[in-house]
Amino acid sequence: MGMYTKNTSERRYFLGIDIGTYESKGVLVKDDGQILASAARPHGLELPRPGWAEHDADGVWWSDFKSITRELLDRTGIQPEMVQAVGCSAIGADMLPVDNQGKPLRKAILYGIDTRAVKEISELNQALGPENILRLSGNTLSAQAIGPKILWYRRHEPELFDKTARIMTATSYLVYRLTGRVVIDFYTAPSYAPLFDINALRWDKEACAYVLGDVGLLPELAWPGEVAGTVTGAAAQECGLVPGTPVVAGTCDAAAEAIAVGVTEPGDMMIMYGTTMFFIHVTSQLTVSKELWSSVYCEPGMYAVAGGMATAGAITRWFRDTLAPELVASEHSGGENAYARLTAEATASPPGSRGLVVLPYFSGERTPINDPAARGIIAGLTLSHNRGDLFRAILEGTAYGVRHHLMTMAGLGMTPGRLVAVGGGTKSPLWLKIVSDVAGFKQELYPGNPGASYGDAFLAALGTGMFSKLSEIKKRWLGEPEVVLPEDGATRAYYDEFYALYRELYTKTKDIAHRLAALGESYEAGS
Amino acid sequence: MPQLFLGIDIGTSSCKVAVYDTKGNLVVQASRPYGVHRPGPYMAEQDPEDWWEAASQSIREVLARGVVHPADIAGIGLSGQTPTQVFVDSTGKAVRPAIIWEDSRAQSEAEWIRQNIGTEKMKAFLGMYLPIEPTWPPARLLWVARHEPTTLERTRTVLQPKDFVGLRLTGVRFSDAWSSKGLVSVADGRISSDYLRLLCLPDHIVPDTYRPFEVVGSVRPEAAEATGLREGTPVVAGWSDALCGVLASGCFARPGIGFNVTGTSEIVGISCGDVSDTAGLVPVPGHLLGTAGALYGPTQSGGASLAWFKEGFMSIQSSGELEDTDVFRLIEKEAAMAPAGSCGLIFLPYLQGERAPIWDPDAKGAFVGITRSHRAAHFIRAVMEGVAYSVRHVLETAEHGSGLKAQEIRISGGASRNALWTQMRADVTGCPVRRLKVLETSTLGAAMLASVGARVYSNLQEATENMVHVEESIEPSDRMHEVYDQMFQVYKRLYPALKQAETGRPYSL
Repeated sequence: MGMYTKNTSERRYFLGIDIGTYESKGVLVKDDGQILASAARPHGLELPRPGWAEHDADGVWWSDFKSITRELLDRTGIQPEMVQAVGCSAIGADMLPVDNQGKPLRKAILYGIDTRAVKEISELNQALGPENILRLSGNTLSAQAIGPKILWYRRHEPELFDKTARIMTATSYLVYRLTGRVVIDFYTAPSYAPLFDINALRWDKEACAYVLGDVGLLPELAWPGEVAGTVTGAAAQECGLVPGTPVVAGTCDAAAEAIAVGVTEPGDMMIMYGTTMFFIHVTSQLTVSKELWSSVYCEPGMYAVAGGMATAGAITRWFRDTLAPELVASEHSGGENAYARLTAEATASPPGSRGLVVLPYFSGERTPINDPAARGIIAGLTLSHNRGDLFRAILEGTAYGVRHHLMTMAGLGMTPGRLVAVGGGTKSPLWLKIVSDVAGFKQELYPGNPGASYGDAFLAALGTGMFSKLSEIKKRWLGEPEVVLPEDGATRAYYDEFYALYRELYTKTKDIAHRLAALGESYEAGS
Repeated sequence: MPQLFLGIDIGTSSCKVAVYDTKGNLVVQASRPYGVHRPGPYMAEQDPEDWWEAASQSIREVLARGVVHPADIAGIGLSGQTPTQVFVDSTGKAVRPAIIWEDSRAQSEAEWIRQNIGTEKMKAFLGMYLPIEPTWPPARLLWVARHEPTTLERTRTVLQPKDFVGLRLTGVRFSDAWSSKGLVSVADGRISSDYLRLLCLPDHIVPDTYRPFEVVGSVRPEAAEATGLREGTPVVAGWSDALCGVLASGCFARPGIGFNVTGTSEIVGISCGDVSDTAGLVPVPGHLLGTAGALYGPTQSGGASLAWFKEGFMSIQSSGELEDTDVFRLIEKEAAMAPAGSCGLIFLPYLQGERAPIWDPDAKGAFVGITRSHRAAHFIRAVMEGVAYSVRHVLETAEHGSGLKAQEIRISGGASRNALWTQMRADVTGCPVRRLKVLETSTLGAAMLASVGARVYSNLQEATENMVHVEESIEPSDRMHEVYDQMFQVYKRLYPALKQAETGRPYSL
């Protein structure tokens, strides 16, 4: 009994919680990296108008945080005193205004999936100059940028803007509810373009003056693994933690995901197979381009080049629901999993899908072509093509998109030393194999890794001083990765040709796609 | 006096036999399916005995119904797939399986002809411009001469499928110039020895040709026994299924009538006088028949596109053919859920390459403009719209070539029963579409030829006036036409753009 108590008291635990678009996840991790328990909460996404995407900050973010924390403590029986530190991450960057009591003034306007600030983007480009903006903030303005969304808020809801005391992203809000401190991490801050000076690592006075009037509305800047504050008495009561528990600044979900799988040093690159494909390539120096997004990374001296496709899992799901509804119905009545069936059909199709090329721009495309009016194409169809060929062609289309990113990075002088695959799509060995074969790269992966929340727990441990740098996660917490090797020879040469065709197909049909996008919208509006 | 006409159509997938009265009313019909053999890549063959078997059985069935007495049949007309080659020996048996119209094995022979003879010289020999393609007769005949010299040694005559059935019925070897185009000149039904020598073909394989409504013989005793027909019933030379379709659409009556014979592929064109610029389409010289002529083109995958999508991507469980009314109703219902223009989604129906108007056997199909908000309904509708765009594309080309504007489009074939698809063709072209009373136009056309051969009518004009009737007129909607017109302009830009993307790529789409 005495031994047990002593051992238990020596153990140290870290809590990591990540808030996603549709789901929140949390883990309680022992100091050696072992996961004691994990919990998840689904939640909704509000789409009040086309192009608008919102979350209720208290109803979704804070509420999920509280209930997941309580569940993890209850299920493991771990005393809250033994939780050494807390880390959070969340979707972002977002725009949440709060009043001087810290109460949200409206629902949070979310990251790139909210595209309402189109006019404000042109206004800012005119006022500040697109070249200046790129030089200052490392990014061109897109739906991902928060500056235009703040300006939209100021223009459309002036009475609320007048009452605004602080503007936060989702991670900031969680840390604020826990500690009372308002911070944003250096990885997320560049998404507040054009307000953040990526060269000097501080808010830019001139841009802030134009957009906000008052720079004091923005959070303080911190590194993700820096302790931002400690849990307040009021927060402790709400979530079951102990007052005084340290809370690190945390970061965006994508960066936390990258950390969780050891993407922690220059040359490391993450490919996230999620609803979209998302890439983070860690570098030792700032690299700015019009094609990709630039950011600071999660430790001083490191930078990141990021990219994101507009679809990935989104089209495999779309394909299943649209062209194979009977497989979904059969799965619901106890039959085979619909994806498993489609994957089996696609496996029977050879590389190149017997002559098909898909442009996966089913929601326009983000990087590297940055073309919201791009459209999907399935080309090369013959009477002999079946559903398996089409499903394979869609997987290959996303793989050509991955290769396009790697080639764009190569053009900026960046070649990754290692590629780590994460996300739900990595459950498909076929998809992983296709991406490695198309891109000609080995991929590493960590099956069973819970993702962003695990990275949050590591940031919490880093904050307590237990570790001194991010890269220690590789040796201390992560085991040996599995690897997916690319095939050489004929398959490679074959995919080289198809990739060239993929690129050519977009160039030659771009104007047609734009016309169809315009016609499609006008018909929808008219019907 | 007997007043009924029997039409026999030797199609690709089945033989159809139907009896019509002098007003063009269908009295009774029957059909029998048969298969296509594909012994190797690009190859498509059929056993001529299967045609005769299906034809004689179907005739037996028609007569067994008891509605028609053999003595009431005044004449028999023939229709069929072309250009196919049936190699028949001196006893009337096929020396090898027939090589049918879709067979494209003769690729290097087509190339040789292009290089060594050339389009202009071929046109002079054949009386019309024919694309030099592996699927057209000269290349395929050269293939046989090169690869199977013994086949030609044993062959007495090269016939068409309907001619083979005609030979069995009458004991006479005959063809018509149009169906045997590529082996004879369409201008006079003859061919120069120089042409045959260039292709290494012996002179004697060329059949005598007759005008399609000319009586070439009559049912002989063996055939009467096999079919139940009256011995001595007159048989006319007949015509290709496409031209029987145009005839039974009433289009040879006067210039300016558009037509669309729907089917696995689409036959689209306009009736007209003689044309100087064929615009890459097939001209039918009317003066040879004493009627208006026509300028038309076949597409490659009309109904075939919808059947492909239905079989591969829709969860409609059906054992029947696409013409099956229930399946059509389900497809229509689904497609009607998407608006005209399918919210910016376009389908290019080149699933087996395309014939008219682009003549590119390597062209491929595509869906373009896809977004995540497109549902199955948009895809089905887009497939139907894509076929309708391909119809307009050929019609526009024919209008341009003939200098005429179609005042109406006569539609026939199974797909014309699909109300939504027919309306779509009216809306896409902006032209009224008139659905014919008899949709099986190949057997009706054959019966019309028989009516002239039997001298019940004095010419095709008179046969048309009496036997062709429009059942319903479908008017285009201006509002829909506006939407489709915008989409059609995009459709026309797609093929050149996709083709350009492929240029210089060793692995073409």
